[in-house]
Amino acid sequence: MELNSVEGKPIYVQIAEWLEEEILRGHIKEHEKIYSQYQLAEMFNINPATAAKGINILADQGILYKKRGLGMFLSPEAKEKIRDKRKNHTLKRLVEEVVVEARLLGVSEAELLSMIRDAGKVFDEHEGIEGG
Amino acid sequence: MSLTDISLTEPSLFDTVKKQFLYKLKGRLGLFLAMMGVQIMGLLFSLSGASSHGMGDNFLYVSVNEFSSDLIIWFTFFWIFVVAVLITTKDYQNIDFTFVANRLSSHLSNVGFLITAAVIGGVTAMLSGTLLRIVIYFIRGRYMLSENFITAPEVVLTGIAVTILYLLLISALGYFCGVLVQLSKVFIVILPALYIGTVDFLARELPVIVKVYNFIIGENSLALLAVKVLITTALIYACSCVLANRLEVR
Amino acid sequence: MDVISCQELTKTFGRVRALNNITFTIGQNRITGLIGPNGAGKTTLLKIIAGFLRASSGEVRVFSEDPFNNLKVAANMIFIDDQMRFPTSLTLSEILASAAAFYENWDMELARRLFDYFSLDPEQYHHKLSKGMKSTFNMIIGLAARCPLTIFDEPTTGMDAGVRKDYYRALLRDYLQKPRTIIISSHLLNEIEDILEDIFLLSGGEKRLQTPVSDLKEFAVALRGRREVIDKLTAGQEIYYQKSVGKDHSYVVIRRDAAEGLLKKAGRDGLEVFPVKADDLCVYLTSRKRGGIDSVFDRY
Repeated sequence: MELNSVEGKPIYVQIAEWLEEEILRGHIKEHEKIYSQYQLAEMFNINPATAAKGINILADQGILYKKRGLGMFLSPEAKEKIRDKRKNHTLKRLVEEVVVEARLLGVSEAELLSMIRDAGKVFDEHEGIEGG
Repeated sequence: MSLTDISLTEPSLFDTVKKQFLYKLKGRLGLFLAMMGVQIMGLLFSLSGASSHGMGDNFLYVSVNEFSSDLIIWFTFFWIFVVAVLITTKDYQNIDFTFVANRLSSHLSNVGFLITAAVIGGVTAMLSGTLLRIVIYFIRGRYMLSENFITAPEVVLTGIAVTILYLLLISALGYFCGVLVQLSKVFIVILPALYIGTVDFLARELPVIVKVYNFIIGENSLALLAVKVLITTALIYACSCVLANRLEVR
Repeated sequence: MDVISCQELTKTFGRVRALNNITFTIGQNRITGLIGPNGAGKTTLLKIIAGFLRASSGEVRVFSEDPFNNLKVAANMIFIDDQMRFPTSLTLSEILASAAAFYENWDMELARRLFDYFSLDPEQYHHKLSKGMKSTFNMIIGLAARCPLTIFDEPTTGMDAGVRKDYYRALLRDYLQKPRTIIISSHLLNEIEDILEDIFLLSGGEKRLQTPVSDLKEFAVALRGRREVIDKLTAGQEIYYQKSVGKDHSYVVIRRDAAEGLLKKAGRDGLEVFPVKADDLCVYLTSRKRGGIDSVFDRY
């Protein structure tokens, strides 16, 4: 994943979102140790303090918990927490933006739905995510 | 474990001076090559003879050529003065402060270097004098008035000692001049003007220097000379250090 | 422990005041970017910290001591810029060997490996290197010396983009392995932004801002919309940058917290909100005129 320094989102937010995606895709299991700030710093070519800030966002939301002297681990309900959060905020916001754009272009709801279905097909062919 | 957690290095002045001194010896070998070049030049110029005259009548003509190795020594004096001034300039200073240095360690290692240069210069200058005799012997014919052709060892050693002492003094003066120039560029004009202005004074003193240099004076004077020179040299270097202690670098 | 601390530091050269009343501290083991336009006083500040120059007034403390003429500071600090000088008669490998004698933490293995990677010839002479190669060599010395305080002053002059990327990558990786206090001065923020922890903005000899980089991005925000709306909204506010867009639109940069308050009160009213790039923000905060260069050409 390429970090986008130019885009609006601060780097540490992008780190937090990337970790969330890793969790959603099942690459990190419950109670497993997640990447340390130093590993993330090396992986994304950023300062470890920035990586730590991203990790702390997730810790503050209860998605990660800290074991003294050992590092950050994935909380048991993390996946659900992330799903809820992103559905009610991120996805909602994206949907709102799509709707605004569709209205602006005069695209009907039916057309929009079929575009969504097409996009879904392409995605499933290429990636496919486990879990429903 | 971070580098700041490990306790910080606290180097002693002596250690730093030693390291800088060795670094300078290694890095300034070129200056010694220049010394050799300068002495060879002195030797070559001396081959033409310091003075010559001839006399004769109808039956016999005698021509006398005098040679002197003084020129080599004067060239060496000039060399060490230039070196001493050179090492006070910005580029040489920057070399010190690229690594670990403070102003005092920089001066002390320069002094060490100049002392080494004086010793090497003194020895090689005298030996060049000996070389000159040998070259002349082979080039200019075997007819030499040669009571003193082979110089007695004590004379050579005394000559070396005296030359070294004068080199020490001259290098200290050169360093001091260099420091003055670093303090203010105006000295580039003032110092040569001072020198020319006092050339009269020097001319009066010259016979004394020449006498000492001709080893007419015995050992006693050597000791006295050594004491005088060493104290003066130390004082001059001390002044240089104090004056240059607040200079900004790099 | 604060590695560096300055109180009301001022430096004048003759009649020119290069640094004016600067107060700040730099903590342990952080990478700080010293950012500012040319002539801002960055090099002067760094050289005072390094003990090369003397402060005209005020106090400077490095490792709790005055850095001027200080062997302890000199032995634990290295200053890398394009004015580093080495004896012309020494080869590069001889210079490395000399450096090893001066620095306790010297890592010869690292130096050799970086040497090989950047294809430097150990038998080459320093003054014969191209500008870019010199900078690379100086960087290798800087990293391998492993000094607790490492200062880089515009270290990438003359380097091409690929080498610069590698340079900063090497810096980050060595910092991760052996954390130390690092200051990098540059006028190209976008290159080093990601590896910085803190940013110190200097302009006209004065400290403008010292803050974590992540906070910098959130510091200000840009608004774009009809000029009357913008003017009304931002009346009385500190404006960091303003320019006109199209015929009657305006683009303005103000503090984020101020913007949030104003938008709450007055509503969006067709205004668009944009983030501001960190390097643009630095330029705005340190620029001469509010409208930037465009103000010279705009006629409104």
